[in-house]
Amino acid sequence: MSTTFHYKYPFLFYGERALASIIEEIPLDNLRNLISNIVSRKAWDRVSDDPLNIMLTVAILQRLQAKRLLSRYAVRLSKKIGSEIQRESTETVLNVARKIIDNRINVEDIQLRGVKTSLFKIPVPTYLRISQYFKSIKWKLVNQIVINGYVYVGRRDLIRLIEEMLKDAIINERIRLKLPDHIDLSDEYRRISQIERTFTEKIKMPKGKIRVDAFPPCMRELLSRAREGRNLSHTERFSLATFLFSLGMSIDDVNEIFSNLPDYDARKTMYQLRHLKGLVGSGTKYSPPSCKKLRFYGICIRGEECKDITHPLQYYLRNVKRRHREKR
Amino acid sequence: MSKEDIEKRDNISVIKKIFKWYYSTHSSSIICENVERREFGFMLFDGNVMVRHKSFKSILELRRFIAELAPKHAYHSIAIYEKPDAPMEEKGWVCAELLFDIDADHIAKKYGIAMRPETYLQCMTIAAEETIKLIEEFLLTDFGLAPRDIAVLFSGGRGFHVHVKNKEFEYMDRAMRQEIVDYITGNGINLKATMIFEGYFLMEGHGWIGRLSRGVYEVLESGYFRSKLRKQQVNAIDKRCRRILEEILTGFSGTWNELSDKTKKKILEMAVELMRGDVDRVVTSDISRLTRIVGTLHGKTGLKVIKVDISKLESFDPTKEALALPTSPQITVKFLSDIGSVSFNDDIYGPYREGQIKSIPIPLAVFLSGFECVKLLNGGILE
Ligand code: SF4
Repeated sequence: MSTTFHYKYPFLFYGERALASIIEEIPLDNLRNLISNIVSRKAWDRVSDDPLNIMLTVAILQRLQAKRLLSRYAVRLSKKIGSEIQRESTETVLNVARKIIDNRINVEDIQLRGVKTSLFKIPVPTYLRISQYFKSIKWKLVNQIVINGYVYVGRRDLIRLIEEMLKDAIINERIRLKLPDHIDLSDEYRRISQIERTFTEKIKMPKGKIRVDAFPPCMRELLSRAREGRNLSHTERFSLATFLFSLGMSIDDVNEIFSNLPDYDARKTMYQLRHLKGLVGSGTKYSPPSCKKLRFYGICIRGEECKDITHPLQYYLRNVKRRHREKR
Repeated sequence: MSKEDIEKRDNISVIKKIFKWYYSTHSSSIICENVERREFGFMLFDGNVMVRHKSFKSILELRRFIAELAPKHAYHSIAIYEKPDAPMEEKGWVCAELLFDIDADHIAKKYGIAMRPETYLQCMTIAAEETIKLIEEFLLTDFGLAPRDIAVLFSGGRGFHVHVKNKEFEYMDRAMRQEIVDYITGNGINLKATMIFEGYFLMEGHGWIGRLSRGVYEVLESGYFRSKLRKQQVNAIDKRCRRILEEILTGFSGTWNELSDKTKKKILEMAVELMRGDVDRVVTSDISRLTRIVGTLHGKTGLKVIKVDISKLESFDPTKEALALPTSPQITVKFLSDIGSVSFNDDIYGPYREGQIKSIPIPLAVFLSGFECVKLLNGGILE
């Protein structure tokens, strides 16, 4: 097994322990310096070649719950690892796949186009859990080799799956790198939350008219179905109403749209809408579901422009902004 | 109200009485795992109303409820919820069996058989074969499931339900289930990218590689393609057919590659049609689906939902094995249309003429009433 790869990305193999064992050996002052350096140089914008730098960056962003920076960094890091692992031995690839994806993954020879071919096999449910986010038809299960509970993929595809899973694992902290609790990060917290805030500010809804032509396909579909008076399921109503509320639409306006539905009941609908807005009941204000959830509900109808969209609001904003630019 | 409506209504009130009578003594055959965490729904005889979002603390409570209500159809959610009686968004979906629906009506139609009382058993046999294919070729062989992960239910009506109870499959979300059905039904298959398209065949191959290899072989050997292609294409195949068949068995066919891409694709499409599993695509991807409760009656047949042993599927006769209602006393009915002979519970009944009045066993009467062939005249026997 290539030792350089092991050395560079120890957390792929040893997880949390990888960082802990290095930190133990560093004097506290040095560690503090490293941390402030990472923050002041915005290390998350570019993935360094230094393993310690990488692990500390992940650890800082995770500890400070800097979700946006973390996910940007995770994307970059997993791409880089993906391109480097390309050159590693089958054994290393297999090892990483087992650690990151599923430890039942294995290598097996099968007959393809008349020749014995060595492929990686992944349990079907595991494969689906990752590949469902890929759009290309080539990833559909029906276009894969499926034998006895396993999907057989080539090296390239396996690495693509590793990248996806890795990204997800860092963002959702299944790979979690921890800094010792006694290290105080309040200065860094201030700086980072400032940066994060500029992100959120950008996501603030534009005031003024709601541009239906900028809606993502899923919401456009629900809206037109509601307008035509075709039925919407509970989940569909919930998703559409919370989405419209986020764009600043009033309860009355949303109610008006729902009034076309075949089983419309004015009192009930008003109550439910107020409930979603947090005006009655528990007081929680519901926010519109993410693409992941919408996909889960079967509401997503992923369009061409949905490529790296994770939330319907994000789609809307991007679209509004683009149109704005085009107009100018 | 039209005459037909009145007849329907009369039938309904008699059947409801019969159902109530049945449940008062047989509710103990109603079975459902994890009762307290599922949602229940019932279709009532009165007004054809659906009651949803019910929940029960125990199987006894459920049985009591059904016995009291005598619903036309009774369902439970395939899903397990944290709060089964809450509105949909707040239920808290935990997991759900993977469910396949094999619809005899639809499958028999492919063979040109219409579902009628006379053809019911024949249609069900075809559906049983499709069910076996789904289980053996797809669930066991391709997906590597074990027989103990799979339960087959007769739906009480016109088909079978296959439940997969395997931890990993139960946690699959909608998108993953959609992929599973697409795999089984061959939906979205990229034929031009397969090795078969390039002339490599593997008759013993696994999954769709084997399926397409065997499918192409069958399409060519049977001459099935003749009615489906243009004359020119048929000639092109005819000239090479024997050679291609021989070569396929060796694993590679150069002669196959002499056919135009269009023709090859057409033949492959026929192969998919032949080899695919025929399951309902919507049912399987719906993770909050309601499905019938074992031991309850189907409102349109009077037969009960029962578990069927996979090994017994082939010879399964629903009119006998899922018979629930008592065969005596008989009930008087008036036939609303001509019917040929109907096999039911090991006997042959009929033929009958429209307008004829006859006494027949209660289960047969309810069964025929579901096809709207009879009017039940004598409900008084139950009082
Ligand atoms: S990807 Fe997201 S925005 Fe696009 S259709 Fe699906 S849910 Fe809607």
